[in-house]
Amino acid sequence: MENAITAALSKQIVLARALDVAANNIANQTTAGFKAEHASFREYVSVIESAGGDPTVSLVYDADSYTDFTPGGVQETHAPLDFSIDGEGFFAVLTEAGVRYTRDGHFGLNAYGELVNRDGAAVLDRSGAPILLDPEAGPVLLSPEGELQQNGTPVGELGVFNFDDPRELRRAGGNLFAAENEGYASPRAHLRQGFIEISNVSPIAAMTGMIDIMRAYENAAQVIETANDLAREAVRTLTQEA
Amino acid sequence: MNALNTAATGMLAQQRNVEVISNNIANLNTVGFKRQRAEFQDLLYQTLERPGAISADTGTIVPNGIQIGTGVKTGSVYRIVEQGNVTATGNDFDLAISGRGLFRVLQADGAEAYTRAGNFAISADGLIVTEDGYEVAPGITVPEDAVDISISESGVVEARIAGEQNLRELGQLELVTFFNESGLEAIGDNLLLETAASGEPIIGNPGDTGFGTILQGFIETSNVDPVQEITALIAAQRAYEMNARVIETADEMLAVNANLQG
Repeated sequence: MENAITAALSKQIVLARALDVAANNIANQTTAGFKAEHASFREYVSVIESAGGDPTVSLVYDADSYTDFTPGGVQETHAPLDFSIDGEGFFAVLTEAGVRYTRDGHFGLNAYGELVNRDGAAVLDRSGAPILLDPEAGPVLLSPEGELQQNGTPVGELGVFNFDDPRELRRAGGNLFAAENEGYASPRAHLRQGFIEISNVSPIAAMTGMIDIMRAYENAAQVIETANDLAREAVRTLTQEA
Repeated sequence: MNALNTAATGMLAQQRNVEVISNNIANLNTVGFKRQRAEFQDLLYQTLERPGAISADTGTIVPNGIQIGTGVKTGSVYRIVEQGNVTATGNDFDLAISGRGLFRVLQADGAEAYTRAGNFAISADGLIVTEDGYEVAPGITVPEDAVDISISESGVVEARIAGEQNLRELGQLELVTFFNESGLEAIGDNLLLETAASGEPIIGNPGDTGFGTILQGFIETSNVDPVQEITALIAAQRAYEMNARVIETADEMLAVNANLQG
């Protein structure tokens, strides 16, 4: 009986956490370059000592969450320093905590003419150095391969970095990802200027997922209630016979 | 349950989004207005590490804990400096810029501001001023007896004076460009100020390389596209509702447990 309650409770704890993950996805459905997060559940089997009957109980726990890296759509903004990546890869920015990676290509300039993200972290070129633009040399044009030009003169190359295993990327907030090992410059990047990648959260999938979570939670509560009823029933029957 | 707070940040973000969109729609007919766009960022993540957790069936070690986000915040609201449409007004002092550039105006305290709104007029002293009476730099004075004003594409202001055969040149209008025009700060009244993000103003004449040209008798309308704004408004409203549903769901889940019959 206690096992049924423990199992149902483990499910409820996991589902409450799954709701937190879903809530974050829904809150970030308009965040540029946001990648949806999903919780994955695992069965945890614990062996219990018992003379007869079921020797194990299956509990559930959420060992992992994983990021859905499929590209989001792109939205035209016409801003000259908004960039989006077609296909795989990340922009790299140099924050105080080290190199971070992002799919959010809304950039600007700092007082030195360096290309920076909105938090002032320098955007890196293919070799990992900041990109310096000349504020007086006219508009910036980007070739699809990532070359930045001013007045027809190349001034830098916007770096796009790939990872063999994107699972090693961890979320760092501020639309950034942290990586254990640095990414390598993508040999074939395809970029767009004046576009921003929108969030890849599918609001409808997120809402149906949330309804599923809710129903599963209610089911687990039902199990707890049934287990309680059985216990109550047992106590009554036994006390009557005695 | 974090979901309650997370969804609240989502609702706040969408509220900000709606504010930006409604400001765009309100300025649909504002001369030289550039539409704005709200940008969002995800908040910090809570990492629930389970170092060395072993998955029961295979014995492998789980490398990652679960990462739970705490919501969203508004990162920035920036202007989209796309050319607006140009409408004929027939007024001599209505000037539209076709291409890059802004007019430079001197505010009452002498500080410089910049504007795309070229609906100018003449002050009592004959100066070319904005509709709020700020001088358009460099101050050009129109003589009282001028009958006809003509402003060329390259910004040369000429006047026909009563009784004179030739046009008299009054001055040359200037434009400024910024490396990152989106970085200018709006102060209302169609005026913009220089910031560290925009870079220093680059002064030039209309028609120079990198500068637009002047169209006399036209004004630049706002670049707000009503259809786009209304669709964005609908999307923002739905997103707001979805976040509200998250709060509802979290609340229901709490209620399920609270109402358990022990």
